[in-house]
Amino acid sequence: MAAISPTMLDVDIDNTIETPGRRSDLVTRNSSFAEITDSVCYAAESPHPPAAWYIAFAISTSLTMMLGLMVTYLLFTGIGVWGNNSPVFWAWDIVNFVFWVGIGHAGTLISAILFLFRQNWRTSINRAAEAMTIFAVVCAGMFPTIHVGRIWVIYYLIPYGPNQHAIWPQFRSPLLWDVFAVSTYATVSLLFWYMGMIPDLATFRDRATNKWKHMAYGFFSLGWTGSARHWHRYERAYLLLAALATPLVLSVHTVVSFDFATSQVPGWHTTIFPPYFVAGAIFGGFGMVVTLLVPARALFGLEHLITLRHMENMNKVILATGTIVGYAYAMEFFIAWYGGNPYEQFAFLNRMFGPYAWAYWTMIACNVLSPQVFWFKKCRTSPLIMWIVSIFVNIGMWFERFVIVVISLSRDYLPSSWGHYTPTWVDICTLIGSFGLFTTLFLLFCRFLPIVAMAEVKGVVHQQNHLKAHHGEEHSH
Amino acid sequence: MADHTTANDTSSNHGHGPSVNDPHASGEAVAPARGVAVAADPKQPVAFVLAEFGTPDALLKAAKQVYEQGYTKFDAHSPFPIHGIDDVMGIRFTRLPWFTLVAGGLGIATATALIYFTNKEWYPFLISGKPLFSIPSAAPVMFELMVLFAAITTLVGMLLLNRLPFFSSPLFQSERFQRVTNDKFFLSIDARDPKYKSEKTLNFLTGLGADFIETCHKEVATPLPWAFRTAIFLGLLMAFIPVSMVAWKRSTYSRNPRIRVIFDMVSQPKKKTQTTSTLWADGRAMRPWVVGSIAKGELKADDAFYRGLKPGGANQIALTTVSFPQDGTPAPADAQKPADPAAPANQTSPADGSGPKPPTPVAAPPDPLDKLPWIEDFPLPVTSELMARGQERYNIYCATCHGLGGVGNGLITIRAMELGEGTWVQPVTFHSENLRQQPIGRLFHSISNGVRKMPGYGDQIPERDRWAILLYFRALQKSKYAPLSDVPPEKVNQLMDAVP
Ligand code: HEC
Repeated sequence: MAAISPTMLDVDIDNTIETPGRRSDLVTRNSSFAEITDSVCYAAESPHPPAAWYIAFAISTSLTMMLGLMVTYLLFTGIGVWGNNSPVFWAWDIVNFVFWVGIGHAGTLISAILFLFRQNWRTSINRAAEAMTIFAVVCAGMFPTIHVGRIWVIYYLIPYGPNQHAIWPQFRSPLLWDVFAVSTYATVSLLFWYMGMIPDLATFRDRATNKWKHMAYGFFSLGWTGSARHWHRYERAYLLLAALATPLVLSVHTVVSFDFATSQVPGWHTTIFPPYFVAGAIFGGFGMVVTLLVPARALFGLEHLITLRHMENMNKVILATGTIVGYAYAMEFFIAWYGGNPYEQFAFLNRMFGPYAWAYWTMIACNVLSPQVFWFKKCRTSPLIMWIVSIFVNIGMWFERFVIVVISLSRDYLPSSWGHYTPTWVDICTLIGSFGLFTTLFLLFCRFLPIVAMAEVKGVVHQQNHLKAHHGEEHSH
Repeated sequence: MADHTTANDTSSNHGHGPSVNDPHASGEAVAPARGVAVAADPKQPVAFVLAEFGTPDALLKAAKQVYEQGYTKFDAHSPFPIHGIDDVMGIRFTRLPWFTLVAGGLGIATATALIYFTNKEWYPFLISGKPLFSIPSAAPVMFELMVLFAAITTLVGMLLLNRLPFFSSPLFQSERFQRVTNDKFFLSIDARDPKYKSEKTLNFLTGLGADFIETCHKEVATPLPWAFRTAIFLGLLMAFIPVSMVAWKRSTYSRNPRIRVIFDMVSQPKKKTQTTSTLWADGRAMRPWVVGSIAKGELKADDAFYRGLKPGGANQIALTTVSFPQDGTPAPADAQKPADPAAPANQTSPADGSGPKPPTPVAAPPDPLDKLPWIEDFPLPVTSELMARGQERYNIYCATCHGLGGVGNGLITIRAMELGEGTWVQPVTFHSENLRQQPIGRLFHSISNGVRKMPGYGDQIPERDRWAILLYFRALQKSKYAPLSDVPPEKVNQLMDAVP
């Protein structure tokens, strides 16, 4: 119940300690089902969210409004308000797009891929991670949309029936594949997120204290009664969606990488792009999950559900994928040298020592070096350190896209058509504003929707208790 | 059956009270259950019997017994899926995966058809030499649509098979049942179950070790308030307005220019051709040519090159702009044509009357053009390149009518003759005495401005090319009358062979 603040109970188990032969606990308190419900609902039911929430919300909504102004200015004036110009026609807008769409990948990875691998620890974090996916895709989708300039004719991208111009989209272009990949990804992620939330929305419905809340949550929980017959189909559907989302998430960043890899630009035209982009996306996405969850779990008193062990696991994923990304950077260089193509070689030397060398080295420092601290358990389990490293990861992944998009375009084949890109204040404000939009959505989510998948956690806790009882028996004889 | 105070006082129990429900009914328990309650309006027939359990395992056990008793319309409710309950309740494996499979196949088929028809059939457009339709480039979209269709079908199929959304169930009248999404476990038996007998079923459930048992009654249908109903009706009605407007506008024509919501590049703050303006007295936005002005590169002062006339003090332009009205009588130059825009600045145009008067054309033959000072030699260096160019241009522009050899048997002429076209004049042969004698300047004039039934080609062929054509024209003429001595010795045999 809302009256019991979770902080009144002490966190009693340290589940980051490895005991061979024994699975560590997924929740660190001997939580009853009711206690889980109470602590998850607390964020939504407490009459006032913590002060930090208000502060964060005030800042992020202001930034969102700034984003609105920037987009309006752009649409009324034209793309010229950005720094994009020949030869760098893709600049921050596309950098931001790839950055945000990559962020989303961690959510789907946690909710779908770890589900297929029966990684039960995902249950505490999957809801928040999926929400993050949706909000990141919202930000991602915005950038190519406004990048087209004439947003009112964006329907040209859609093969639609009553076609007055008798022209159709060109399906041999990776940019069109991207339209399909990103919109499918957004739709499927939303469906997956929503479906996973139906039982928890029903919980909110049943605990609603006023009529409007009851109606709203009641509407979206679709009359869920927790029926065993419903659960049966529901679980099948969840498994099927997970099985569909898994290849989907891998395909999305693959297709995004095709936007570059199928072109002729030196530095883009490489076959390593699809796996390298996917690894980078997961890396960056986990970085963002950690960035969001470290404050969220403290703010809403969910430390016993989203435990240090969860955070530690995510940091391990960051370490692993960060190292894969580092390997990919090295491999790109190797192939550039080994391939013997002078333009390719120049492109990579130019990354390291050219006019944007600072961006390249920022990327290396943030993406390859900073996660290495996670070799140490102390760093993996310290909220402050992991939060700082996760911020570095976010910065590094943004710069990775900058390095790929802008550096490659600014100097391709013909030195006479080289150029230098500098962002305008509109570019900068739009990027910052997109963070505002993202955080606003996430804060609203924390306040109005179940942050943790209660039904799933309860199921896992029940299973864990069963196992323990079973285990105890086995040891006794 | 003991009645219960929280629920039987009113049937409009939708607005929920505090989220904690603590029915004080335990005193009237039917052993061993701790209480029996009646939810909602007890005057209505029973819809469900509901038993509450504290743990998943208790529910599992109870569900097993209910199933074994032969009940079919019963259900277990729990905050999370309980593993193993499907078996004990006899739940058959769902058909949902088949739906997903079919939808996925449909997605692939849709993508394939979409790409094939739009890119190969309806709008074939060659891009970098790629095939119009090929599997590799279609694969990403095929995959995406497969996932999209399958995912949507999975969710919708799950909801449909579960008969969701379903907002009003008698179960929701029970306040205890609100904890089904929190920490309690329930078993419900539908009153429509063939095995259901009110007392017997209740007793049976009591024996299962439920913590609490209650009956849920059919709901008295409360219609939506009229304001809601009218609002929904009006809303639906209004939703049709934009759709029908669009349909109407698409199927009709309008004389008005289209309404531009967004001003694209077509609308710019400038005056366009054929529009009005208040800036000038004549009210036109387009300005006429300022008399005596010459556009850049349009001076054309070289009479020989541009008009085929010997340079001289006379107004050579006026001399050549003799035009022929329909009846064939030559008309004075200034009466028919406006001043040649190409008039050199230093020569006054005849239109203003200040220059020397052109010679008044004589009414009938002899042709006024005969008297003009035509040049006899080419006004540009004669080279073999020029000849080659001339041949090429001649074959393009002239041979269609005049024939490759210039005897007036071009393809168009042949066809016109076959069709018996009365209006068609056969071109004259180039090998007539008249044409062989004509000064080259006059021939230039003829092909530039036209002659009798032949239209002028000045607008289509630049001057240099016209001279090139004439050079070739002279070569054609020469070919018919040249003595054998003019033929290079090594070609003579070749020539003799060609003669039949
Ligand atoms: C549309 C068919 C057509 C084409 C094309 C055409 N001519 Fe003619 N041409 C004629 C006809 C018909 C006459 C005869 C006019 C008449 O007698 O009324 C003629 C007459 C002539 C004459 C004789 C003028 C005279 O004084 O008797 C010359 C020279 C001549 N054409 C040259 C050319 C040249 C050079 C070209 C290519 C630039 C050309 N023509 C293209 C149809 C054509």
